[in-house]
Amino acid sequence: MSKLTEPSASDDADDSLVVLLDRCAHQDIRAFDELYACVSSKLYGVALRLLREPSLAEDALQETFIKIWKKASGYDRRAGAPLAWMTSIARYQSLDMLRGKDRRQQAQSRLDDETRVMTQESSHGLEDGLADGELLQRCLGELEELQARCILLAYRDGYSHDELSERMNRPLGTVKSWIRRGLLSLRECVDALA
Amino acid sequence: MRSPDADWWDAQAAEYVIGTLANDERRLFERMLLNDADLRALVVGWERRLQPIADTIPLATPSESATLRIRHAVLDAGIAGARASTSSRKVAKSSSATPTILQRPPDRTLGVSAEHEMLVRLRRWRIAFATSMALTGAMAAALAAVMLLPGLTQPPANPDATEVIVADRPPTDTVERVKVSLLSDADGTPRYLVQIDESDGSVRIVSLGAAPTPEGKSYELWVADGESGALRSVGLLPDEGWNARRVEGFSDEVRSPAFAVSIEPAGGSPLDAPTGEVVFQGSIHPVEIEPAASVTDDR
Repeated sequence: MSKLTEPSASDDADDSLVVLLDRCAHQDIRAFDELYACVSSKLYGVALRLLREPSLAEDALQETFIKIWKKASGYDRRAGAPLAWMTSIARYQSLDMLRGKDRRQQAQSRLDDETRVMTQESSHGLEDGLADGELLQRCLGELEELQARCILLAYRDGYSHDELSERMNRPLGTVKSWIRRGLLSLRECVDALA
Repeated sequence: MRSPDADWWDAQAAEYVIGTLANDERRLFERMLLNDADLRALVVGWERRLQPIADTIPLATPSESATLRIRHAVLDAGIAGARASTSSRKVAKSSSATPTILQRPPDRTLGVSAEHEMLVRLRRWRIAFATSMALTGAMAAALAAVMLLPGLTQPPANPDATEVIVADRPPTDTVERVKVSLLSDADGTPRYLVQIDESDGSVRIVSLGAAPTPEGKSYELWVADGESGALRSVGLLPDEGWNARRVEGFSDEVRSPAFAVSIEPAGGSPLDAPTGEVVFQGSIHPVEIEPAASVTDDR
């Protein structure tokens, strides 16, 4: 049912997703099947990155699609582009589950994975070949390296303040202000260039 | 120029999106989002700015069983919330006095066995109801509709079952009257589904993924006898999976309003009454199931 095809960020793809969501809002299960085929690999990838365990990520994916199905009737463009809206549901669901686990346990597994993650990152933490989001990449590049890394580790890998503090070997207060300042600088840059 | 307050809220929104708000802060922020369109707009702004990071995350394919399970979950979420079906019958809220009339769900075979379908549904129920709010009688009735899928026969072997009944239930043309109960723990988390078919005295008990029975203990199901009021044991609850158990003498005279589950020594209470504390309970709802007007997959 699902294919490993990259969902396009083009307007046409957006419109297709909006139509599918509208059909889902009318209980059209075939529209759901199409939606699932289109986005499940992306949403599952996001959940798996945050939760790391396939069974947990599948649980998160299930909750995500139930929420998408139930909320489809309430979706409109004010909630953002359809794929971003669905990605957010997947992320928040995964974060809820992540924060419910034993935090000490997850912190340790993150530190164990440190080598793997670092070898996959460029100096500012984004993988090569970022097709869309050159704007964001540029703005992240204008931040201090550790600020950018904190934001990426939090968003993509679900690191908490405590875990970032431990990983960066910096006080908690330092990490918190890095993130805050980094996010606001990012906003200034992205909004100015957009 | 943005005010410091505006910046603070924007930073809160950003941290909510990236996931670094502390648990209690995050929950509070989520509640505020429900009522504050401006705050929601801030969140949407950050989701848009940061979405390209999500685009760098590798795609991954969920397993086939997960895909099936998710589809079932969504279909059943649709049953619970759907409008009236193609027939003129409507779902009414159930009360302890008035039966709920439901349409038998269409036979949605996906090319897998009915048993496999039931097994994937078990996991789905555990997740769906772990996040549900107060359960209404209509929801319990919807569960009963799912339970009566035609063709369900022998359950998987359950070594803990003291008695396993093969209950072959071909589809009928008559109205079926059953009673259902959703047994929940003190936190309101559903743990078991119990269905009583008074026409043949059979009782089906389905585990909704409860925590395993504590070591050396059993969960025992009790109901109040309609005449004497004394608690009568229905039997031991399965740890997982499901079984169908026939209870002698279960009849229309049962007027118990509720089931209760107590924790007992392994093998059950040595007496005719509970010896341990009650851990799960649920009220009993009468439900009438009418035959489907048509069998299609379209909703």
